[in-house]
Amino acid sequence: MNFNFNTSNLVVFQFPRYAGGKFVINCLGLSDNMVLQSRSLAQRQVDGTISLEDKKKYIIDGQI
Amino acid sequence: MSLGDAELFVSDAGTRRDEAISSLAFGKQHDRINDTVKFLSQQEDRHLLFPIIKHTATIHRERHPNAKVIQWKNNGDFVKTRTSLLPDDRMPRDEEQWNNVANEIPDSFKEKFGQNATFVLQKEADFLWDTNWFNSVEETLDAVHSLYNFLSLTDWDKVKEFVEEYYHLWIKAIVTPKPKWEERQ
Repeated sequence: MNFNFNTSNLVVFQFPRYAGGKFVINCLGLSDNMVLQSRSLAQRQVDGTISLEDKKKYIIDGQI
Repeated sequence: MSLGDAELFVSDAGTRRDEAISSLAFGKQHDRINDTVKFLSQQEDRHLLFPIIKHTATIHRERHPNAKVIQWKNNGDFVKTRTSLLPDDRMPRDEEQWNNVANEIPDSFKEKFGQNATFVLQKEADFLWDTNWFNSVEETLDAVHSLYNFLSLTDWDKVKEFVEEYYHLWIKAIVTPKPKWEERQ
């Protein structure tokens, strides 16, 4: 299987470093229809084995 | 591309992470791109979005022709405030510091990338995030809510309370001076 560069599921976030982009990505990644920037969590979302609480913990742990 | 991109896009073990991330930026396949994002890129029956980051002011539209592009504007003051708290060894590179994307393609870009190259100009971005919104929790929440609507994410009511809590934690964290890399635990 190849990566599909024509996908409409990709969201490009264009921001300079330290402009708060990661914060916004994490806020959107809380949704059931968007993944966070973690392969293992994304796979769990594909498999339907992740909860909102799991996502919150990932975000808070990264903030500390 | 960012460290976060590597965490999502590249297989866990082994080397050549930078090479794999570079290949994505140039629209080329790479054996280190993991199966999870390949699946996410191929799925058509599930509305499951995934992010990629570009830190430069220029990105090629033709490399991600169907992606949504969310572009930041009015970055200067916010970035300047945050980077003023950084030690010199953590300052971003010059090409990763920009205030607004241009609305026309400069001749220098055409000469470098060719007349047919297409860039995402600010007037053509799918959504513009104004960095000034971060100055107020209300404006930040309204803007994130707008993004949920724009991307057809339907569970804003479920996450709103946590987003507000996260905002306050984040703002507190980013106004704290950062140590040098070598001094980090």
